[in-house]
Amino acid sequence: MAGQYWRAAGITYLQYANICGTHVRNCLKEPFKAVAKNREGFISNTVLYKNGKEASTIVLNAELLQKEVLTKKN
Amino acid sequence: MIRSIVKSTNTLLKSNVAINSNKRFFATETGDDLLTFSLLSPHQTIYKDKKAQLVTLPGAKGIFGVAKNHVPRIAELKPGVIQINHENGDLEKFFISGGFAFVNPDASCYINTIEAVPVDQLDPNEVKNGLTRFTQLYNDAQDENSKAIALIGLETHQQMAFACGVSA
Repeated sequence: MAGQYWRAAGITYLQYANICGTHVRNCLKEPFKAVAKNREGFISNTVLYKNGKEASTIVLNAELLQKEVLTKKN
Repeated sequence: MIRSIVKSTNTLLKSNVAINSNKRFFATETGDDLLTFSLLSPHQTIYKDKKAQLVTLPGAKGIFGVAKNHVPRIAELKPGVIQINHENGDLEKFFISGGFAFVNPDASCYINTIEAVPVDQLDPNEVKNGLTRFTQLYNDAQDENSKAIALIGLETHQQMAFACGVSA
């Protein structure tokens, strides 16, 4: 399908929808932009324990996710 | 004589009633000729069961309008402008970042979007900057994946530029 070049490039619909949403939020005027950013914001820390000790930590938040979405290579 | 006339009219009436009762109508066909639509995003219900004359949507395969008694369909939406012709003739425009539209057989339509904002909330300067940035990114992109990502950005910004009247 000509309209779905992104699917051919290995991007899923959810990734596509997230990218489009990010672009629209970035282009809002000021009071609305802050509200939208606030709404989408989240912080997540995942710590993996091995034998009772911290093995690794995965930090994920809105900015990191956005960066990853916009530069991701599958 | 009179009795036979009465009798024949009675049978005539009966057969008329029978013919009418064989006709079938949609329940909605008795009302006005307006579409009932809902415009929804995950965080906000913008319109719920609102009446409108016409709603124009940016489908993935082309822009299409939905009025009452549209053929039922499910359509993917691209980033673009939703135009609502309200019941009283007012025109309202929203910019959506994509989603899905469901046109139901009962003259109702659900528009589910990720982001839906009134067009005048878009910042023309940001749109202009984004447009040049993603044109640059698209031209610089080497592999298919980054080219596709740049093209998504470019298309979205082109649509926003079109919506708020910015030219590159």
